[in-house]
Order: sequence, then C-alpha cells, then structure tokens
Amino acid sequence: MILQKARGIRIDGAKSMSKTSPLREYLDPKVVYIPLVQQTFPLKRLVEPGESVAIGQIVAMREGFTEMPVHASVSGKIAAIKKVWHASGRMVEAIEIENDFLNRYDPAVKPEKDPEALTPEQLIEKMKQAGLVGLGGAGFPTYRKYCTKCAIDTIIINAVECEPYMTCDCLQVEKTPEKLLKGLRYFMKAAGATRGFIAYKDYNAGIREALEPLLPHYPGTSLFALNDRYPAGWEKYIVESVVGKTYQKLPSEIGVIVNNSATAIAFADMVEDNLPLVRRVITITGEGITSPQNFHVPLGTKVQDLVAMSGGYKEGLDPKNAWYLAGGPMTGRAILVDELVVSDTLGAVVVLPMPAEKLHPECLGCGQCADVCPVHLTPTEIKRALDRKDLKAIGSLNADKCMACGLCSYVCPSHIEIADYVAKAKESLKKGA
Amino acid sequence: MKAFFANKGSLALLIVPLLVIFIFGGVYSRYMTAQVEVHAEEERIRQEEEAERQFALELMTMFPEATEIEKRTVASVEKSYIIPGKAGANPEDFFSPIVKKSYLVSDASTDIGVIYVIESHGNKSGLVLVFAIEFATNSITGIQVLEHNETDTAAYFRKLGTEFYAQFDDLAFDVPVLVVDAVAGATYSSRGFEIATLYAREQYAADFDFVIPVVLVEANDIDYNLDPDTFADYPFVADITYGTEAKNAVVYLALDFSFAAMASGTDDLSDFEKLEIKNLASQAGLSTLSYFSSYDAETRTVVMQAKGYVTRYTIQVTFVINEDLTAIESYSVLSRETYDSEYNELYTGPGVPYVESKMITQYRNGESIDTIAGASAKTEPAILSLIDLFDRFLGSLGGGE
Amino acid sequence: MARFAGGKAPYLRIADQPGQGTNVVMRDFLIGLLPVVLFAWYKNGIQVYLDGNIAIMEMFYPFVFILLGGLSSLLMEGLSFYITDKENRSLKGLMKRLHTSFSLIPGLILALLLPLYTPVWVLLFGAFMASIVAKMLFGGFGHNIFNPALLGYLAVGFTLSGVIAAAGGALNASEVLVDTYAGATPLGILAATKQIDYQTLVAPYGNLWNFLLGTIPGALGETGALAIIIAYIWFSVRKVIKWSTPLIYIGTVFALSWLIGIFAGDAGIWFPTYSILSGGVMFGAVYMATEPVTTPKNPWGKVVFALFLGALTVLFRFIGNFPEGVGTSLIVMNMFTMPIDNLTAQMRSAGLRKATFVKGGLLVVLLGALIAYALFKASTIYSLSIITRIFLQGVM
Ligand code: SF4
Ligand code: SF4
Repeated sequence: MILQKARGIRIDGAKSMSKTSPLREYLDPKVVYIPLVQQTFPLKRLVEPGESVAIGQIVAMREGFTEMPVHASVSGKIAAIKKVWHASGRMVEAIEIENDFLNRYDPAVKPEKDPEALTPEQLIEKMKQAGLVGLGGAGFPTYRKYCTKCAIDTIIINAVECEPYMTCDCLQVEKTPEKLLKGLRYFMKAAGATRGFIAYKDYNAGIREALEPLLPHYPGTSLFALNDRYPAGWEKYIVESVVGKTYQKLPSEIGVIVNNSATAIAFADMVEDNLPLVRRVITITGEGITSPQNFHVPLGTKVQDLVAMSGGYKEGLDPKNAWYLAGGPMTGRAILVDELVVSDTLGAVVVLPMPAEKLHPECLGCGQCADVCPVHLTPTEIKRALDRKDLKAIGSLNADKCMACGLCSYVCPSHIEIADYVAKAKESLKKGA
Repeated sequence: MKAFFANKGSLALLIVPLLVIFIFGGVYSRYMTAQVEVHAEEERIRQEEEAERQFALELMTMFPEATEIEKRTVASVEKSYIIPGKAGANPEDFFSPIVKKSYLVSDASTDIGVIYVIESHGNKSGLVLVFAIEFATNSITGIQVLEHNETDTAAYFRKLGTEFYAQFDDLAFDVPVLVVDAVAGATYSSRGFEIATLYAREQYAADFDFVIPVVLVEANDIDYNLDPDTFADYPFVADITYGTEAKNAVVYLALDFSFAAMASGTDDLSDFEKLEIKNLASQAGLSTLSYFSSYDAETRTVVMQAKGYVTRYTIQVTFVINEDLTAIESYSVLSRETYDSEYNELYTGPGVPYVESKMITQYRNGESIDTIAGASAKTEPAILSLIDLFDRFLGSLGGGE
Repeated sequence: MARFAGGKAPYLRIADQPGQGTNVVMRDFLIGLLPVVLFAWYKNGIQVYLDGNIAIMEMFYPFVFILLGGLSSLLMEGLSFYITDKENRSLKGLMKRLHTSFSLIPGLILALLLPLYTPVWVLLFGAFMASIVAKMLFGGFGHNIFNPALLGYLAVGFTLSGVIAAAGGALNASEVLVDTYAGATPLGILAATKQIDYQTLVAPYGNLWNFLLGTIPGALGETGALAIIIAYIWFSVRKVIKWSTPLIYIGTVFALSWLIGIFAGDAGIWFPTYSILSGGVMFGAVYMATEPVTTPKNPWGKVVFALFLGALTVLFRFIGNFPEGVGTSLIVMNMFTMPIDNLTAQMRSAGLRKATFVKGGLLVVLLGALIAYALFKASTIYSLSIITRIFLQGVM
C-alpha cells in the first residue's frame, strides 16, 4: 500500500544475451592468479615462487575469526607474486601459477567413500577446509554461518539471481540440478535443518523444469518462486517471502540460513569429491561483448581470455565511453583497466557502453528514491544530513540499514548518485561510531 | 557592433524578448482592458433589446390570434387636454398625452391591429396605458395599466373595478362622441383614462385610414324657458340647427341640460346630436341653481325654488306680482337654510329666512343687493340666481325695469 | 589492455532508457499542463469568441498570456544565469542550464493562477518574484523552499490585486456580461456571507456541474476541475506525481467541509463537493501539493503533508478572511516540508517501533488539534447548534 510499498521494481534483466549460449568449460587457462585477498581481508601466502602446486593444494590462509585455507586452482608452478586487478576494484597481490596442463590433483582431493555418513560437524569442517565462501557476491565464509548457536530449521538456496545481465547461477542450476539438491541436502544436514527451499524467479521456468522431477528424492526440499523484482535476491527479502518472518541482523535469528545456489553446487563437490573451492561459473556479457556467454573456469583465470573467447569487445566499442564492471550492473564495480582476474565473488563481468549523454540536473525531489527503497530509507534526507555532516541525523534516519541495492540511483530521473551518498553516510556512521 | 553581438549576444537574446514581451504584452493587455468596457456597453444594449422584445411579446398576447409584433413609428398628433381637476384657466392647466411606443400586430397573413402605449394624466402624471386596437372593427380590444402614480387605495384608484375596465372591451372608435363613464371617487383617474382613450383615437386616426365621426349641431340660442306653461318641466330651451341638411328645431332641456322634449320641429335627433346639444348647453353659462315650480296667472303667483346650502331642501320663494305685472306685490320665503356652515359662526344676523328676505327686499326696492357675511358661499348665489330668473320672467311678462 | 571509464553503481539507470529521465518528466509535466491551458483558452477565449462576444484578437489573449508567463519566466531565469554564472555565458551554456532547471514552469503556472485581465507587467512582476526571488535566490532549481509560482502569485495578490481589479478583475468577457455573478468568485461569496446555503453559494452559478466543468468565475486555469482531473490521471499514469497526494488532500478538505456543513445544519453532499471544486483546491492539489521540490519526498511525508495541508486549507478558508485558503496553506506547509520530511523519513526507516509510534502520535495529536480548532472556529462562525459547540468546547 501507499505507506509501505517498497517491494522492489521490475528491471529488464537483459539475461537472454548470455543465456542462449551454453555453459562453456574452460578449465585450462595458461596462467591463473590467486589473489591474496578475500573480501577485504589480506591472506597469508604459504607458497613461494618456483614451488610446484597441484589443484586443491593450499596456497594461502585467511586468518582470524573467518580463518580458512585458499587453494590452487590449476596444477603448475608458482611463477611470481604479481599485482592484478581484483573484483574489489583495487590492484592486489596475487600468486601467479603457470599451468602445466597436467591437471594434477592434491592427494586430499579424492572421492568420499560414504558422504551420507558424515556428521554435521564433519560437514562444517569440510566447508572450512574447502574454503567455501558465498559465491553470490558476499564472499563470506560459509562455515561461519553454520557455526551458529541458533537452532536452524530451514535452509534456503538462493537461485534468484536478481541482478540483471547475470546468468551464471541460473545456467549452472539448470545444468547440474542434481548437485544443487545434493548440496542443499548436505547443508540441511550440517545445520540440522528439516526444510530446504530453493528460491528462484518465477519466469525462470528452466530451473523449475530441471529441479521439479528430482525433488521427491530429496525429502524436505521444495521450490519457491519469487516475483520478477529487483532486489528479489536480497537475503532478507527471500527469507521474508519464504518463511514469512523477518529478522534484524542475521537470518539465523529465526532459524534460517541462506546460501547461494553456486555455493551449494560447489559444496556438493566438496562433500563428495573433497574438491575445494577452485572453480566457479562467470558470466561475460553486456552490450559491449560480441557474443556473451558463461564460463566454468578456475579461480584466477584472466577475464581477458574469457572476453576473447566471447568474441572480444564489440566492434567500435570505445573503452573511454564504456564501463567494465566486476559484478552485475546494479551492484558491481567499475574496473578501470580490463586486467581483472576471476575471484570467488566475481559472478560476472559486464561491459556496457555508456549512455549517450547524461544530464545532471539537481534533485527533482520526486521522491522516487524513497518510494523504491526496499528498507524504506529516504535517501534525500540522508543526503541532506550528510551534507550537514550531522551524524546523529544520519543515525536516526537509519542509514545503516542501506543494503546497497542501488535502486535509488537506478530510479532517479536526475542521475543523482543518491545510492552513493547513502553509502557514504553509512560509512561515516561506521567511522563516527 | 559585431563585437558587441559576439560578446553580449546571449544577453541581448534574453533582454530583447523580455522588452518585447513587456511592450507587446502591455499593449495587448491594455487593449483587453479597454475591450471590457466595450463589451459591457454591448451587453447593456443587448439586454435592453431583449427586454424590449420580451415586453413586445407580452403585449402581443392582447391579440389572441397574433403571431408577430413589430415596432412602428407614429405620426405626430398635437392635441392637448385640460389636466383633470384643473380649471383650464392658464396654459399650465393643459397637457398633451405622449405615445411612448407603438406596435403593429399581425397574424400569419395580415396585420390585425395596433398597440399604443400612451402616457396620460390622471390625478397625477405618469398614467401609462396600453391600448390594443383592432383594425377590423376599429375598436379597442384590450386595455392595460402599465404604470401610474395615482393614489392606489381603495378610496381612489382601486375604485376602478372590473366594471370600469369592462367598458373598454370592444369600445368602438367609430362613434361621434366617445365617453368613458367616470367612477365616483376616482373621477380624475377616470378622466385620465378618458383622455388617453380620446388621444388613442386621435392617434389611430392619424396613423391609419380612419375618420372620427363628427356631430353637426349648432346652437342659435340657448336660454331659460320662461314660458309659464312649460317652464316647470323644462327649465331650458334651445334653438338649434342640426344635421347635414341644417334643419332647425327648438328643443326643451332638463335641468341637467339633457334633451327633454321637442318644442318645435321634427323629432329626428340622433342620440349623439342630443348629447352634443347637452354639451353645447352646458357651456352656455346658464345657472341651474334656481328654477320655477309653478305660476298662477289669476293670482299672479310664482313659486320658485333655489338650491342653497342645505342640499336636502330647496329654498322656496313665492312671489305675488302686482296687477301691472311690473313689480313684486308681496313675497314669502320658505327656507330651512342654516346658511353656510363654515361661516355659521360668523353669521350674526337674525334667523332664517333673514338673508333671503333681506336680499329680495333689496331687489324689490330696487336697491343694490348687499353681500351678507356668513351666507355668501351658497345661499347668496342661490338667491341671486333666483332673483335673476325672476327678473327675466318679470321682463317676459311685459313689465319690469 | 584497455582503459575503461569509472562510475558509480548502479550502472543501469531508468533515466538512461529512452522515454525516461528528467527531460521526460519535464515534458510530461508540460503535457499535463496542456489540458488546463487549453481549458483556460477555451473558457476565456475560444468559447466567448464563438458566442460572438469578443473580437478575434481577444480570443487569442488567454493563450498568449499563458505563453508569455512561461516565456518571461524562462528569460528571467536565463538572465539570472547570465549574471551569476560567468563561465556559461554563451548561448549554448545558457540553454543547457535552462534545460535542466524547469524554468518554463513557474511562469506558466503563475499565469494560470492569475485572472484574465491581469496586465502583462503584473505578470512580469509575478514571474520575477517566482523565478528570481522564490527560485534563483534560494539557490535555483531543487533548492527553493517555497513553490515559486505560488510565491509569485501571493506577491502579486498581496500587492497588486487592486491593479488587477482596475484592469478588469477576475472575470472573463463572458462573465462581465452576466450581471448575476456580480463579479464575485464563489468563495468570495462564502467569505462575504459566511452562510452555508445552496441558494447563495451554488445557485448563482447554475449547478455543481458548472463547478466541475469550470464555467464559473475565477483565475484562468484554476476553475477547470475536469481538465485538472484529466491532468491528474495523466500525471499518475506517467508517475510524474504521487497519485495519492492529491486524493488525500482533497479528501481531507472534503471530509472537513462536510463536517462543517453538518455543524452548520446542512449535511448535503453538495457543500463538500462545492468546497473541493472551488477556489483552486483541485489546481493546488494536482499542480502544487505535488510539486516535488517544495513538498516532502518520502511517501509518508507526502501523506502527512497532504493531511495537514487539507486541515490548514479548511482553517484558512472558513475562518480567515482569505477566501482562497489553498495558496496560503501551501506556503505555510512549504515551510514545514523539511521537518515533516525528516520526521517521517525517520519513522519510515525505523519501521514499527516505539519511537515511531511516539512520533506518529505527536503528528496525530497536532493534526487533531488543528482540525478541532478549525471545526471549533467554524462552529462559532457558521451559526451552529449550541450542543455541538458545547461538545467541541469540552473537547478543547
Ligand atoms: S541503495 Fe540503500 S538507500 Fe538506496 S535503495 Fe538500496 S537500500 Fe535504499
Ligand atoms: S530519485 Fe533522484 S531526483 Fe528523485 S528525489 Fe531521489 S534523488 Fe531526487
């Protein structure tokens, strides 16, 4: 209704672009770069240049509360420690591994004899040892979610993929539905949950067709269709829609854990083959790409290669007037140089020509940003408070609730970078507090 | 110049249109404001016309079968009348009615009548009447009072009731004498109606092919009837010439001058001629205050009556004439006068019939007759009239002075 | 290796899509003004001309007048850009700035608010007050606190109403000619008679349909309720305005007027209908209560704004000596836009918490007090039954 109508909006997904071509395997790049950073945490390198590594061998450690190993994604020799462009928009150090094309696996990578016999604790330990993180874009170590003190009764697999352009999750689910369900089952077991849902967008009939016949084999699981709305894939929104309850900080408060579909698929591999997180699917798309498609690649693969395999940039694309985005166009980041490498959280690279001309008049005051905000913020007021540097006001306007969906900027008729202001306000709140 | 435009071109582009707006718009809005008055005037005229049209349509209903009504101009008629209640002594006592509007009314095929809106004068000025006159019969078919300033109370103007107005229904113009019967108590108003009606006829005659009939009567002599055989019945006698053939006749008239009987000539007078005779007689200056009752030739006794102050009773004077028929031998007075009431208090003389007797005695003695305070208004003229009449009679008997 | 452009998320913008963005909003707004402009032209020009009451030159005047309003606003804003911004003095620079500042609109709306026979120099003065004083001096588009057109209108109304009256007043040519209107606008009659009675308020103008169609005396554009409703539908469909705001505002005025009518002993539905169809309530609701810059931006704020606006309008209209009420209440509410926006933004973002209810309760109490005051005052003015008055006094 008028007062609380903020259920997101329909955005043209532009997904057909990359979805029509099949998922391509590209498991043998000549060289990969394992970035020595995860989210914003630097990793501790455990290998030196010259050393030889196998697939699945630990090459670095994430430390602290979210401690976790990071693995080599191809077999070969450590060539150097180099700076590469990372999805976070910065250049970071990375371990360069030259592929020897032998596809040697680390000894630990072997099929599990009886995966069904694993205890929840063992499963959680596997998550940790496999370095499983949220592949949807958050990059938060999955095992941390499962080490919760709350009683979990529901696992939700997020196959919504509400970002426009991106199709990696959807395609992967359609291709390996079995694995997804297995992953879900192991997650349920790890958490002791009795219910498992797979949330997807109602127009993604492919997911339903692939999963529906298999559901009977996986007790407690069911599908849940969401409207085609942005940000339908937002955790809070999914949880609210599926279980009808809402939470303050984490879904585990109400006994729910949400995992991305790609994470679940990777987890299935981990449990059954002990294969750590070394590969992911990435969408290369956008109006700037000749033939957009999805690739299944080792982490650290150079995006340049993938772009080349996709036919390269479109004829006549002027990079100065185009964006090269790590992630989807709503939440992604503009990377200034196209030397990006695939990392755990990089689900897509979107190359978009810039719109012809951008007028930047003043804020109209139309209030559409407030209308559309899924957490009912009023970005214009937050901006005003930010202009006054009034931390208290920012706080009372609940700027910290912003989930960075970008919708406010998306709808703004005046091209105000209003989401950015809110983000800054949120930042200043963090700093100030 | 060129440099100026290069530098200030955009400034000029901003200011010049503003100036143009200011000037052009200013002129435009002034024009608009001026137009407001023009429209108001236009509308006033339009409304007047509309009211006029409505008025005409209203009037048209006076002719049930009329379908069209059209304003017309009238010929000028100059005719003035004595203002009701005035004596007609000086020019201010006269007025001319005004035809304020006139309409020609027609049905589908022909003109059927005319309407006059005439301003007349009743008790006050501004008595506006509407007359509808039908061509076919030359008669009034309807009358309306449009406006008036009369004293509109039951005692005056409202006395003009249905009966009064009914006399205008089909009142024909085609008669020599047009009479409107007055209503007592509203005589001036009635007269106002009559004047308007007469004037309407004059106007009608001037505008259309209509001739007002006239009565040809000439009075050769109109006098008191001194013939003792008839004078008790017919106080006046008139010698007239009448009709297109100029016939002669002598007629007797009653005390109110109305035709009473033929004295000589053939009895073929029309009613209008009789009316005209009355009219002429009333203008002849004869007194109606006294008259004869009887004459006995043997005793030479004349009995006369006079109308004095008391209206219920006349003053009766009996004269006995001497044998020579030249003077009064004796007389007696039978009077119930109270003399004039307003002077009653002033009257100090002896009781009735002192005044009568004194005056007659003075006459008999050949003295000049004195005025008597307290009886000069009514009693005195009555007795004077009586004495005068008696004197004439005496003269006619052959003697007197 | 290629270097790409930087930018800020999100990279998709509705505004970049064809048929979207500020320009389109502006275009849609201008289109939305069209019904009213055409109505104003028709009522004051074309129809009167077709009736044969005016000359053809006069027929064009309403249209020209409105255009001149817009144009002078544009030029004045251009001038102020020229003076304040030394960098962008070229024609192109000026054009660009004008393009993004909605500069036509204050003048257009102002012209629609003025009576037909307003001299053009008064219009220019109003446009100056609107564009320069109310808009540019506040920092230009997006920074003004008061609705520019409205401020211009009030400036003209307070200082130059005599001039307008002298030049021909509030009536169009057709109406000058009809004596029964006696020169008064419907609300003028209400303010003068303080009498709620169909015969005095509505009957002189025919019936309420005339109020809907707008064939009653009044400013150029404000009376055409039907045209305004068309514009409202267009705006709502095109999402130029929030559809709910005008409804809430009009609804509030309707409800309160009805109550006052009931207190005054006439519960007829005609009175509230009359109330919303006269004195620019419709115009204010659709074109000014929704004016984005000077009204709250978040949806709750809009609701609160509209409710208070309605209460104030009723208060001013039935109690004060401002027969209009709408303009004054809008200006007053403009001043409260920021606090309302802030407060409701806090409430909205906090969700259903205790603090929200406290703030909400505060607003409800304020609004209730305002309404109660309005009704109480109205009750003393419009000869009410004593019982209601005592009841209200008890409440106060
Ligand atoms: S980016 Fe933040 S403020 Fe903007 S719509 Fe999303 S949640 Fe709301
Ligand atoms: S959407 Fe843009 S123009 Fe509209 S209020 Fe928000 S910031 Fe201002």
